[in-house]
Amino acid sequence: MPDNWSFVIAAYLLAAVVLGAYWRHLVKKERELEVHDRMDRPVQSTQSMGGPVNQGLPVNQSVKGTQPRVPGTGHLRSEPSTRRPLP
Amino acid sequence: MSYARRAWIVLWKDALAERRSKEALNALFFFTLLLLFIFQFTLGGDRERLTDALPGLLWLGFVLSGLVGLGRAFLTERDHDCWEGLLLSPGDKSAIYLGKLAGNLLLMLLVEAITLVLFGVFFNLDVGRHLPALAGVVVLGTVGFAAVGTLFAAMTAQVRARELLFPVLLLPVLVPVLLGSVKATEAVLAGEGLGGVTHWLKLLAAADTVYVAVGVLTFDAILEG
Amino acid sequence: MTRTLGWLVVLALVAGLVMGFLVAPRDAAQGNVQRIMYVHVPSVLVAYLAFAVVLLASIVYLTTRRESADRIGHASAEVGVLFTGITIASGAIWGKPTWGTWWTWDARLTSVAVLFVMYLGYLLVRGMVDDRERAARYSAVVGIVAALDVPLVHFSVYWWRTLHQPPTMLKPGPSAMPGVFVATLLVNLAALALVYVFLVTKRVALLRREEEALA
Repeated sequence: MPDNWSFVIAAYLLAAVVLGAYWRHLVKKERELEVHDRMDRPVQSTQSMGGPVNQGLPVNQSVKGTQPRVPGTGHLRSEPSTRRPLP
Repeated sequence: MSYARRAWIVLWKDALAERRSKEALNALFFFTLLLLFIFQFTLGGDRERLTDALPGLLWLGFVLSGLVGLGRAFLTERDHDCWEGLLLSPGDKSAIYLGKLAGNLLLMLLVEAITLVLFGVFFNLDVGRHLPALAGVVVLGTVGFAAVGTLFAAMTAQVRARELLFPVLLLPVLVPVLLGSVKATEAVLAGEGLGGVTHWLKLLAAADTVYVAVGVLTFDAILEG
Repeated sequence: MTRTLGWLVVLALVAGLVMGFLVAPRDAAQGNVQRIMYVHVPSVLVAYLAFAVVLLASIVYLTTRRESADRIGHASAEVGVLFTGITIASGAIWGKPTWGTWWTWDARLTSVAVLFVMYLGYLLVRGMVDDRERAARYSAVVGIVAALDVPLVHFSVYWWRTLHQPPTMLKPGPSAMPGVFVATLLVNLAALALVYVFLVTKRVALLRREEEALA
């Protein structure tokens, strides 16, 4: 039976691409969040805007966000959360 | 008020509402009739192929009408703002689940009975000869269907894409019930009786038990808030 | 900690590749195509592991309402679906030269396909329900139903493919494999399991930060 190396390579490559793409996606979102965090704290930053990352700020410091707080939603999307009708 | 009584009240309310309006039953009857036409148009050319496919078509009809029927299971609660009523009812909310399950089960069994008659008429299926065994299989399969269906119907009732989410969630989970029911129905309609398919029947019974148990245990979590 | 884990993952993956391509011999019957099994089998096992974790996390969430359980369930379901997809795709790629067709409704492929769709439904619930707390509750229920359904799907699909007689064994295991094949499988399994842990850890951390960002 012919060895079909192309199939073997295809299978391994597929697995690598899927897992790698997911990992890259996670890293990208993490970076986006870091930028997002930093942008929300302009008053606390001791460096000028657009400067290098302020290494002093701990990553999981809670953010005093400038965004309106919407209770009960945990998504980054902008759809309105479904609310129960008021009695 | 006892648990059983609360479940009974939910069933009674739905049954009464349905008896007065006959909305669901009429619509489902016509839907089933139309399905039969579609089966005939798409598969009816070859008589033998159709006969071979009958068990599958039967359950296909049950599933499709079941999806329509179950999708409306919590319609009244949602449309008439009765959801709070459900949430505020005292005691174990799983009684509501059982009441709803019983109601849905009855409705589905009724529609399936009508479907069987229609199949008998249009596709020359001798239902009467195998009726007891057939009825047993249909009930076993429908219980499982209704059990998960009621749970997921409650879950998707308030989701914005419910018409999409409900079948997408329900159908994969029901694969074992579908396979078991069709296989057992095949055996019955072929005149073999239920002796050779006891493993399927056991699977259906196990599935039914699991689904009802999960429904009873998690319905509270679905309803709350 | 994640850095050490990351390096461990790389190490394990390299070990797996070495085993899979250099150490394991060419299969006598199938030829080198058999090497795809070192991706396919560990993937499905890791997927099952992931969904078992989803089941546990769902139960813990519904009983304790701890948000960490919800995050773990969510992350594990995502990674589990990925591995299920890899299982199906690698199975199909293996099937084409071996069976001559990309897809066949054999028991294993079919039940994995059902598994895939069930947990895609889980992720759909996460995506379509806006209220975070509701999404957590609903997907926990779906996670439980799906997991309990897995043995039912397994049996029903297997019986469906073997006509008439019910099976005497639990499942059709592979015939006894020589040690080096088993060893290669285990190394690759360990490697992919580590990838799973790595990705889930990262995803859980990301979920926590997403919530904090919105708080």
